[in-house]
Amino acid sequence: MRSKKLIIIPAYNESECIVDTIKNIQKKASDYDYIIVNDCSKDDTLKKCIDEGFNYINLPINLGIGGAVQTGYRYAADNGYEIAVQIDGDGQHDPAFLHDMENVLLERNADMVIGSRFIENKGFQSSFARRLGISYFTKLIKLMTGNSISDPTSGFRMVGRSLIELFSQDYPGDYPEPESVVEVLLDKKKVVEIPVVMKERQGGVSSIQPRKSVYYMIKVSLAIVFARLRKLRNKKR
Amino acid sequence: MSGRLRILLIILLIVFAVFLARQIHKKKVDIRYVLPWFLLIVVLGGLVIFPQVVEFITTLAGIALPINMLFLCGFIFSLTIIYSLTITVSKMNSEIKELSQKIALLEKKIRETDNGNK
Repeated sequence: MRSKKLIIIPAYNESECIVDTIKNIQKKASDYDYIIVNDCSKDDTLKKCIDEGFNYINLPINLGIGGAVQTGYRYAADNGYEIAVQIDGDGQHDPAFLHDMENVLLERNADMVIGSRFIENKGFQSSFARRLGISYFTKLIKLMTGNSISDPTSGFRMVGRSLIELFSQDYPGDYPEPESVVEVLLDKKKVVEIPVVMKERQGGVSSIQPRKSVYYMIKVSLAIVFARLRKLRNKKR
Repeated sequence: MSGRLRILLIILLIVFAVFLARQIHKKKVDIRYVLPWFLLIVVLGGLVIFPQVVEFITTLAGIALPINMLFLCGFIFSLTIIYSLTITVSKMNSEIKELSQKIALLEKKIRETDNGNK
C-alpha cells in the first residue's frame, strides 16, 4: 500500500553514503515512500541500489542537481503524491525532522517548508565561504521579495501537491535552491522555515566546486532579478 | 575615437543589452548561455567609456586606430563565445546519441516483455 508522501533523493556518486542514507530513512521515516534519482553516477551508486533492492530511477544522462530533483518531482506528480520532500544522498539531512516538517506544512497550511541550519545554528554550519554566499542570497531574496529566508540554499525542503505539480514542469537547472524559493515567494505561496540540525557529509565528495562559485552567484542573482522583473511586468498588465 | 563614435557605440551596446534582457524575460533563452554576451557588452562598454585604456592598448599592440582595436576585441570575444558554443553543441550531440541508443534498447526490452506476456 503506497503512502501519499515521497522522499526524493538525488544522488550523484554517492556510493559511500547511499546505503546508510536509505537505511536511516527506512528506520526513522518508514511511513514515507522514497525514490532515489541516480544522476548517471560514474561510481557504483547504481550497483548498490540494485544489490540492496532500493527504489530508484536511473537517469540516462547526467542532468545536474536541478534536473535530477525535477525528475523526482515528475515521479511524485505522476504517481499522485500529496507531499514530497528532498533529502540529499550524502546523509546531511536527518529524516528525524520529517514529521516536524510535515506537521508544520499541514497545520500552518504552508506550500513549502524549508529545514534551515541557521535558525538555531546547531549542527553542521558549512564553511565560512559558503555561509558568506548564503547570507548574500538571504539579503538579495529579502530585497526582491520582502521575505526573510535564513537558509535559501538548503536542499532539505518539503512541498505540497501544488508545488509538486509546478516543480515537475518547471525547475531551475544548476544551483536551483535560491531561484526556486524566489519563484515560489513571488507566486505568493507560503514558505515556512523550521530549525534543523544537519550533519557533515558522511563520505564522498560534494559536486559544488569553489571556482565555479562566482559564476553561480552571478547567474543565480541575475535569474532572481529577472524573476522579480517578470512579476512586475505581469502586474502592470 | 571621436565623441560621436563613442555615443554611437554606447547606443548599439544598450540596444543589444535590452534585446538580450527581453529574450531572457520571455524565457526564450537560457540565462546560462546569455551571460557571456552580457560580459562582452560590459567589457566593450567599459572600453568605450574609458578611451584611455583603448588608446594605451592600441599603441602597445601597434594598431593604427582605436576603433580598430575595439573591432579586434569585439571579434576575439565573439569568437571565444562561438567556440564555447561549439563545445556545447558537441556535448549535446553526444548526449542525444546516448539518449537515442538507450531509448532504442529500452523499446526492445519493452517489446520483448509485451510479447512474453501475450
